[in-house]
Amino acid sequence: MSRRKGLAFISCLVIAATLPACNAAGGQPTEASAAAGDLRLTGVWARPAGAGETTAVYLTITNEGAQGDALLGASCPIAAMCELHETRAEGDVVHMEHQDRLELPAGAEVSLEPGGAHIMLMDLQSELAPGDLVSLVLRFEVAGEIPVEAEVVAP
Amino acid sequence: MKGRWWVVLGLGMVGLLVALVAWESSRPYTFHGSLLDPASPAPDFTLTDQNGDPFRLSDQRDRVVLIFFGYTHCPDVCPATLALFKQTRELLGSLAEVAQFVFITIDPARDTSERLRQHLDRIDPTIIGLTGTMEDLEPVWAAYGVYRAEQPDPGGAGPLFDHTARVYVVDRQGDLRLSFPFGFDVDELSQDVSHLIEER
Repeated sequence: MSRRKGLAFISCLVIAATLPACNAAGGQPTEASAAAGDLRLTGVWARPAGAGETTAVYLTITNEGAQGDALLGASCPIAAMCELHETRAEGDVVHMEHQDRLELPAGAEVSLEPGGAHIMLMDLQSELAPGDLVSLVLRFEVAGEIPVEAEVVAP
Repeated sequence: MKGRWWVVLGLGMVGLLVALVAWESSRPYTFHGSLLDPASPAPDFTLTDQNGDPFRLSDQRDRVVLIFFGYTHCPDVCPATLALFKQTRELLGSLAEVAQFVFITIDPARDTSERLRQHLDRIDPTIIGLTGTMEDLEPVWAAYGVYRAEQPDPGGAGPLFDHTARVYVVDRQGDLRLSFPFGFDVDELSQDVSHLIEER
């Protein structure tokens, strides 16, 4: 009995030690990145989706300049519609709001991530399979338009 | 004389270890999810899965069933939750054979069996996707307290929905035992599901 407990304890330790690695491997940003002036865009990724379906693009924006900027929207040739959205939770209910701007204060790192801000692409013209690249142009108040490519990552 | 002290010390250490193990195994398990206390039978339903076959909840006795309500055109919350389902299943390892992950649509107008199948094939084909008519689904949403409100079509690509995003966990006896909020921790969910699978 105590040997089994001991084994279980050791297994728990081993599993616990490997968990962060497991989590980090799932659906996480890729190396795709772009820079224009003071803004650095990293970990640009999208979820797989079928033609006619909806998906979201996520990324991290670092404003390395001394001046604030804002993300105003995006254009995505692959989708009929492409908007800056934010998921909000009120109690158990989630809803999405179209955003006119996402503030990027000087020196700040702002992440668009699942359950928060994202670029929503609706009515995709073709399927997005893992490994595909999605071209889009992000529109900033100060930096202007910056083209990026999001890598489609399996969940 | 010196040897006897070593024996006493050794016996003391063994005694302490036995007491620790006994204390550890007598402590009740503390669930991470919100406990439904007292547990009550999960509302039963029969809906149609992604292969067009009927799926009845009460046929799943002896499996732990995890239920999430959403829709395939959902851009963020639903695919994020289904991805967490997949990660939870992977963490469960061989125990996942006695767990069933279920995705019930709140958008039957667009989510046919065929669309559910295409959608889940991209994420995790072991997740059961369920649809039906409004008449089939409305009582299920109501029984699980699912809020669902269609929002104005943002640009001709179809509506988005505000909706409840909890995950419900049904134990092997068919009782609704736990629920988890959106963005749950996969380690916590898998630990709770493992406990429900192993408890008797």
